Amino acid sequence: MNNSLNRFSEVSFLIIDDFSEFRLSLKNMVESFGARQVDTCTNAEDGLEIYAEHYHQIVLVDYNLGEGLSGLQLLEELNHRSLLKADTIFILITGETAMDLVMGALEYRPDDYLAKPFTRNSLKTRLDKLIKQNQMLQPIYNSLNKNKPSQALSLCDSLPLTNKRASMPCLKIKGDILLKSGQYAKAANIYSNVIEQRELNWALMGLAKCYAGLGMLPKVKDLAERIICKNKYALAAYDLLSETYCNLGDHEKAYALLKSAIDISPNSLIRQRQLGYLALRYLDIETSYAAFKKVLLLGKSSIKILPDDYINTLQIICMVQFGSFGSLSRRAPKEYSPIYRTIVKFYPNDIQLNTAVELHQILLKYLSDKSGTNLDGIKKLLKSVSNHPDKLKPFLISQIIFIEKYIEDIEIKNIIEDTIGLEQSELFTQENAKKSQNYNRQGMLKFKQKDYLAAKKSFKTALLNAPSNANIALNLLQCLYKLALSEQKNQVESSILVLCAQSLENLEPSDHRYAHSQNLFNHIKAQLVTKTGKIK
Amino acid sequence: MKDTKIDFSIVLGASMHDMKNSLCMLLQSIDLINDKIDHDNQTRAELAQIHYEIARVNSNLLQLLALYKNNNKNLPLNVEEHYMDELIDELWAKNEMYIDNKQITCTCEVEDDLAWFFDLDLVSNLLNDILVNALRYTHSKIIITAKIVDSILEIKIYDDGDGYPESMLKSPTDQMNSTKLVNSRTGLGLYFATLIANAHESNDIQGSIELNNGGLLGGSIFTLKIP
Repeated sequence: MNNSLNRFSEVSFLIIDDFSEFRLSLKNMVESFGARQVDTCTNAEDGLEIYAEHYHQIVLVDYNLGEGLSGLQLLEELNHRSLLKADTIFILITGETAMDLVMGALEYRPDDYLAKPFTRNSLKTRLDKLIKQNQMLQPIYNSLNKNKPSQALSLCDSLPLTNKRASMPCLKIKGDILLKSGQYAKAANIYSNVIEQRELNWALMGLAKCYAGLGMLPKVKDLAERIICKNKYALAAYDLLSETYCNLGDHEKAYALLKSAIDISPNSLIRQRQLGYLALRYLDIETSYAAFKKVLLLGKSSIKILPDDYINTLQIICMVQFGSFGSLSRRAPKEYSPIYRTIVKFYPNDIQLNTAVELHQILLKYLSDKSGTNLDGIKKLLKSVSNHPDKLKPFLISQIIFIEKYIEDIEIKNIIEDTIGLEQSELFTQENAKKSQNYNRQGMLKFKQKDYLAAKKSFKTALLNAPSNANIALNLLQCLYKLALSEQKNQVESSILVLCAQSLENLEPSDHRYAHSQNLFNHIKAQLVTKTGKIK
Repeated sequence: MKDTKIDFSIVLGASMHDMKNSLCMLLQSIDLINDKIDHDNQTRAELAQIHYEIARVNSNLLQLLALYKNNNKNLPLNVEEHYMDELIDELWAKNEMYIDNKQITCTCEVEDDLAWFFDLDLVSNLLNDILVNALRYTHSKIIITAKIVDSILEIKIYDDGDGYPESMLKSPTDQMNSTKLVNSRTGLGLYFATLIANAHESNDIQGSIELNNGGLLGGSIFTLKIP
């Protein structure tokens, strides 16, 4: 191969392994290929920092990094923080045992994985292949890094004409871009074509997401079940399927499914959070308690944690303390203060969060002594909440409702009704999955007929009956965008925008719907500004 | 002592992890030593032999794990599109030291841009095991060919050794019994190969393996068919 030494001299490497001899030996290997910029570190947390500074072209990470994040979780974090460049080659090194979990990761697939043991020669062959493939796709990565998706899309069509080996990777990237911009029908077309050739898991998964976006839930269910049947480690399929069960109103199935996903991989914060919520629904307090404690633990090294998680955990510990769970109940009081400390440390300026904590603390006091002083304290604090200038955040509302459940007092009920207000209590309408699905279908029909006003009405009803359904919120948002573009901009009420925002708030940046919803919000804002000249 | 049941998969997994790390370090030490020593044929030959035996230990470990998973109905396939030339390049690279040392001529006949759908890890382990064996029994040459016949990928490994013994050609490889394992070194490997081949399925056709003698080089021919 001509100037193969040169090839590596331009490439920067990051090697992460907690096993020092191995780290050194890997470094020696890549240096013997001619690499001149090689950084090393021992854990994922340091790896994150070093990568964010230098954006290495090749990252070699051991799956098993001892305490802290695993190599696969590092990949997730890099994606969540939108740090990972499209053209970085991320290689996971695994012993045989972790391979199943790595291969089950459909969402965050490393570019490649190396099974131990490997020789210097086989590592070099593998790196040569990856670098070559990367160079082939470089023009697409460049467009993606410059945030020019439509340019990337046309490159995906043209590159395979000159290089046959680009076809499959290009189809995959194309599907991904279309999915992220909400063009579900087009994306579904691509995935279906791939599946016609061969039933590849990523294509099945992509198609399932398209169907979810198009509101065809029974099809999503079939596909996700099929993926799990083919690969019981395909955790992303479990997550999609349990979300679908929830949207269909079958929470019991969702709960059972999540439990089996957690058995396979307990280290996903989002999945543990979801399990916590569902367990609470079935009043399985102990499971919920364990799940939320795990959420906080995982949150120590992840940005996925939300203020809501702390408040939820505080509430559940309270339920454990005042329930009858034997030694669990007796130990509960000791668990509050570390959580209080974490909140103060990470959210010192979040007034609403601090109010929620205060409410929690005074509720605890009242529940222990039932004194009138503490009851008055609660009333006083609740009244002050109505003076908050901003809209109340969901976790504060949740804490207020929690109090209502524990204290039978007519005066408190009245204050709470005044505090939360009509507009916000609208969010807590009775959930009705079936009704919501019907209205969503109606909305999509009206949308297709370009009757955006009728569509808006249907989507809104659909969302009110399923406030946590992100797909419906996205449909509604799309509809608002169309209205903003048209002469009916006054139909884009800010209260509906808030409704959408709240349903979409918990989406992760890695979720294909996240980018899409952000774009829509920005476009709508831009439209409203140009038309009226002053909406903020 | 309490009667506690251990989860064998966890024990197996943990010790496997450890053994793999050791093998990894061993291989890398040998690579390093090989770079540093002068051209002394005997030492080189010894090193190549160690290298070869490590590869065998490793492939045995891989097979054990795959068989264990299969027993528990838990062998997930990860099918993707792969290019044959890349697969074969990697096979040569894994065994380069031994091939160089024994001065075996290795060639492959593959169409440009021939790609197929399969689980790279499993198929590459399977072929590597067969190749390692062929390297041992061949006299001077090995040829690997790959082509599509009636929508089925056919990979063949030819050598110019003495061929498979008659008893192996006759008996089906998918039934494993202990006598067979004791009597032939390759029993486990072939059983593994059958398992992996069968696991690949498309349009209700299962993959398979075949053993023959003769062909291009007059020695043994191993055929893997993946639909």
